[in-house]
Amino acid sequence: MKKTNTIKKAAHFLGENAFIIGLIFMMLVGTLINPNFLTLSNISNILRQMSTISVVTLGMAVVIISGSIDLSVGSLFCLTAFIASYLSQYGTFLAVAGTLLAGILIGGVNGFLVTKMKVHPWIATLSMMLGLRGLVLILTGENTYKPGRENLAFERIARGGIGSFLNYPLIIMVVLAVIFALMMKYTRIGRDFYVCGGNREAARMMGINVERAINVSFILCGFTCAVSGIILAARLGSVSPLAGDGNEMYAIASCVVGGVYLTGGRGKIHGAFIGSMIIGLLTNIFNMQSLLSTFWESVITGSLVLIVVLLQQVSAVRAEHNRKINENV
Amino acid sequence: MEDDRAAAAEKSVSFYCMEVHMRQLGLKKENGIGELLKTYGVFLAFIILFVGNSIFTKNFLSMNTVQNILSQCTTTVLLGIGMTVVIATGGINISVGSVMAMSSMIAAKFIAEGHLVQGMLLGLLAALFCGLLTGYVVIKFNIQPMIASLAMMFVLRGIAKLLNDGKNMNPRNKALNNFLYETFAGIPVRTIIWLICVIIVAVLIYKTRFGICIESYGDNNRATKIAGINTVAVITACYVICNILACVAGFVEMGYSSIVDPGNMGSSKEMDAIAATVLGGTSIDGGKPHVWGTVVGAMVLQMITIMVNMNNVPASYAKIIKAVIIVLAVYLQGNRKDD
Amino acid sequence: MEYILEMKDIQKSFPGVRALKGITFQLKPGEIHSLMGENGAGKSTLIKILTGVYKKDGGTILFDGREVEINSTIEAQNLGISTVYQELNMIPYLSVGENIFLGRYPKKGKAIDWKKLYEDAGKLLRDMGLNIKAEATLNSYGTAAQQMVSIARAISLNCKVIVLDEPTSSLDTDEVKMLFSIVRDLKKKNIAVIFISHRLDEVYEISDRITILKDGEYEGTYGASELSQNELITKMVGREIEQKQKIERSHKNSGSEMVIELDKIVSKPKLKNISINIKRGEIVGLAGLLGAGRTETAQVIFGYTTPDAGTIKVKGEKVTLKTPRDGLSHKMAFCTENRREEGIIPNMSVYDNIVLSSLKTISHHGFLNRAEGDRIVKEYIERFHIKTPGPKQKIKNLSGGNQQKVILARWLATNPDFIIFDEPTRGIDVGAKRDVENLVAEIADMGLGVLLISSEMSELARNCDRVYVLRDGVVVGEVSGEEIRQENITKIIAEGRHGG
Repeated sequence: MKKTNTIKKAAHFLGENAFIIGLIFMMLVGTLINPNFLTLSNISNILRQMSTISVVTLGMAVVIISGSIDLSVGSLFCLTAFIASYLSQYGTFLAVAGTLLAGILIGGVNGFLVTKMKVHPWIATLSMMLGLRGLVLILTGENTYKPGRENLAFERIARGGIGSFLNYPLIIMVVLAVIFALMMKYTRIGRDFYVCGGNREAARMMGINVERAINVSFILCGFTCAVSGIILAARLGSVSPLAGDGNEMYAIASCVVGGVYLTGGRGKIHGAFIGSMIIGLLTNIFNMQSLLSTFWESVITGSLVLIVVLLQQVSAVRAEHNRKINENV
Repeated sequence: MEDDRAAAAEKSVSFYCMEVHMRQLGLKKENGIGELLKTYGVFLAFIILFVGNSIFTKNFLSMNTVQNILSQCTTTVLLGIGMTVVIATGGINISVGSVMAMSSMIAAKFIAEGHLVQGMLLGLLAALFCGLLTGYVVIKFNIQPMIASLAMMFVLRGIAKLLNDGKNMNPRNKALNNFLYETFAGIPVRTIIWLICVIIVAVLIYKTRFGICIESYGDNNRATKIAGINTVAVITACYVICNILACVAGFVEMGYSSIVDPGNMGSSKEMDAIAATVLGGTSIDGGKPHVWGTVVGAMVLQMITIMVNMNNVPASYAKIIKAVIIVLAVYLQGNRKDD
Repeated sequence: MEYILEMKDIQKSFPGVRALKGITFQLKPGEIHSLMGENGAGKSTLIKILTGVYKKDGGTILFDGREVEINSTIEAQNLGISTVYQELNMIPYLSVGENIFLGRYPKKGKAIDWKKLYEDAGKLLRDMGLNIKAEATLNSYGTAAQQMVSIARAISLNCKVIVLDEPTSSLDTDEVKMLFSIVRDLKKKNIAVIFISHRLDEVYEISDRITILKDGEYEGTYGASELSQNELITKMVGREIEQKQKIERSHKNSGSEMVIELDKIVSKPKLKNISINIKRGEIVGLAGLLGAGRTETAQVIFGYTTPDAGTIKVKGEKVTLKTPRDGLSHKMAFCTENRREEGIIPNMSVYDNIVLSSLKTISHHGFLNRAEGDRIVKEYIERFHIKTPGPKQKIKNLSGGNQQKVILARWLATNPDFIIFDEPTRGIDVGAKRDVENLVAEIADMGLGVLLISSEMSELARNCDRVYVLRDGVVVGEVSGEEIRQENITKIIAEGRHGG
């Protein structure tokens, strides 16, 4: 009896934290393919590369936990990258502040469409995805945009760092992840996100301001897109109007793999964060190896989302069933 | 007698509350001008756009332009009516663009070796199978249609690129290409193709029992299940039909241009399809499918594109216009079912 | 001050209907007060007014001696009135402790002090004598524990009145015992409890006083010890005894052939032991109070739910039914109680609603034969006197009675051998009611087996050949012929105890 209990506990822990196994697995595969995988410089490099997705994943996780979704992150990421790149000609501070403001504003528009105009989040943000992409294409004249004047201080945001390992994007990513995790756990608004996603009707009855929570979640998501856009613009020094295409899928995949339920109200920021590491490593590994075409990556990412969501659904149904049976024995 | 009446009145309390609730949910819409506009507004938009363009856009009223609208809207119409079928059930399928690319790539592979029929058959089969998978996952496992089709969109785009290592294919088949450039009695073959498909779908929806099942499920899925309808089969079939139409759209584009770009073919076309559907009066929450409305919706979109082109405005403006159209149309459709 | 809560002359109307006609309700501090009444009596409307979901049209509410207006659930909560629903107002994937202190987190500086929160929650739960971990996810506990947590939340809010809305409906005996001991503790804390349940034993076990509502009117308040079960039921369901005549029947197609036989059906959580049978041309009634398992029985027969144990036979043949389609293919039909959600397809035409279940018979290779459909639709519209401008009219624009007839037509068009009516006359006016009852009789005379579920005893008396009486998921008695009278059924319900 006791033994089965221990096993059950272990199984429960692993079930809750399966993403850790995923991460270890990905690292093993990485090491197998590339013997230099586990060197500091390589890891530092990989983390710098994946920082753009990881940061967006944080915002996406907040939105999903509050029971909505944001499909416009890829386009918004690209738009903010353009804005950052453009403004960097006129000063680093202006570039950062202006871009963050733009991200927050557009996040606010998403929130407005969902809470005030009552358009379903899927449809509203899907339209935003299309509309913002159109906007970027117009602004850039459908060509890769390169600011006329280089701003080295701005570019240091992505290229510089403290020592050889701690590059700034890595620091920004980790600091943001910690702030988001603390916010979700220790502040009123963070808990409101969980409450709204968990049972919206009950949240209303308990006097939670549901609309405010949803608005804030979209604004936070817009903010993370802007941060990530700044990193991209600074890293590349130029912006392709197609940048970030499919980012929404990577962000959703990261959340899902990290144990965030698309049905809302369940999941942890650190899970989503580790999820984004897994997805990032997947990309990285595909770029390193020569066995499989890199196009397998999107096939695998997509299938992964479908499979994990299926498993979540099946396990939720089973848990509910078991609960009902147990209750009445 | 008095007592009886009182009793009856009391019993109808819960019934009344239900009705209030339904109205809040937007299930009970009032008839009137608003309702008419929702259903036929797209025809009005068509006329306004047409007249407006005739006045303000040079050369718009030439036979050529009309023909262009009728033939260039092929992809949007085909994807649109497929989307209409799925949206009528209360679902959505945003993988259609990827299905186009995947099926066409499969066909192109074979056409390059000279096997036209086998290639098209296999492409069609692949589309059909993917539709089966999406539909089954949605109805049987209760996965949100948006996430199921989003994942499929990603997977199929990947497969399309895999087939030729991400490079374009140039399937040259003279017969197919010539056929698609033909006109019959002045009507381009592409127009005839979509017209035939629309008629088939319209017949399917308005003349068969399958059509009644679709609308019924979109309107009240629980009651439909209790009425003994095989909902799993019906819903799965809807996704299959949607994918087959996407496949046909892909073949037409492939045959017409003799080039398949696995990365870009059909990309963001799902938005055109959704726009055409909601413009055409089909509610995003499911219910009555308006096939002909969708067709006109697709032409409105095409007219916007042509208008943008002929007035030398960058094509990207069309993206923004479409996004605004979708949001506004859905907003005007009224309250969504609160989730 | 004698009463913590006084509701005086409460009026509430919905357009065309007076739901509450001057209800009085008085609650003493620290008493357990049961609110009884059948469906439509006005219980839930009254509770919703008390908790701020509905606004009252007239009357006054005195809370703690002061007159108050309650406009929202939050206001009710702030006053000190809390409701424990079955699960609705909890967040399943958050911890127990958080659910208790939701929205009122203890803070250390700017941050939520989780340690203190869990300590406080743990202490509260221990004080209640509960073995529930404050740190665990709410969803890892069953309904019973979740309700206790909900009560804990109410206590932590310093509530003076707690409404328990059907708390026991999915609990087992031990869990009910536990719930009751907690409710008695509330009493010691001088918290008043409004208790709503359909299980008579429980009502008598726990309540100090009972208030009965009937048809939106105040029937009276009684000490629990002064009122016998029999009296209680009579007061709840008893109309001025309308011993009206039985509906005319010809019985020309009756037979001894069993259409449906259920043997010892168990279906968790509601059904414990159901054995019934129905013959050709017979109308069999299911009587019982709300929550006795009547609708659940019907669902099992039709394949809507699959039973955990027991056998179902259709015309002597053992069958397994997994979906409503299986029920349909065994020539059954099911007019559900919930017409809006499970019956009509609101935005479709009368025509489509009628042919929905018999699409196969009116189509060739999938193509609709509109002419054949027209014939069927016309036949039923005439036969049932369905009042509609035409078959193309959307069904949502029809009156309740006519909608019900359309649903009935839908099922009869499938040519069934057996049909279930779950509350067929609910929410429809008197004239249409008689029409529907006549139709039921006509259908039985065609040789169909009929199962009729109704909470109106007089309706059962008028229509049925036999009536099974259910109580708490068990068949506790059977009456037939002239014995089907309200007082007999009431007596069986009152005396019937758990079968074990």
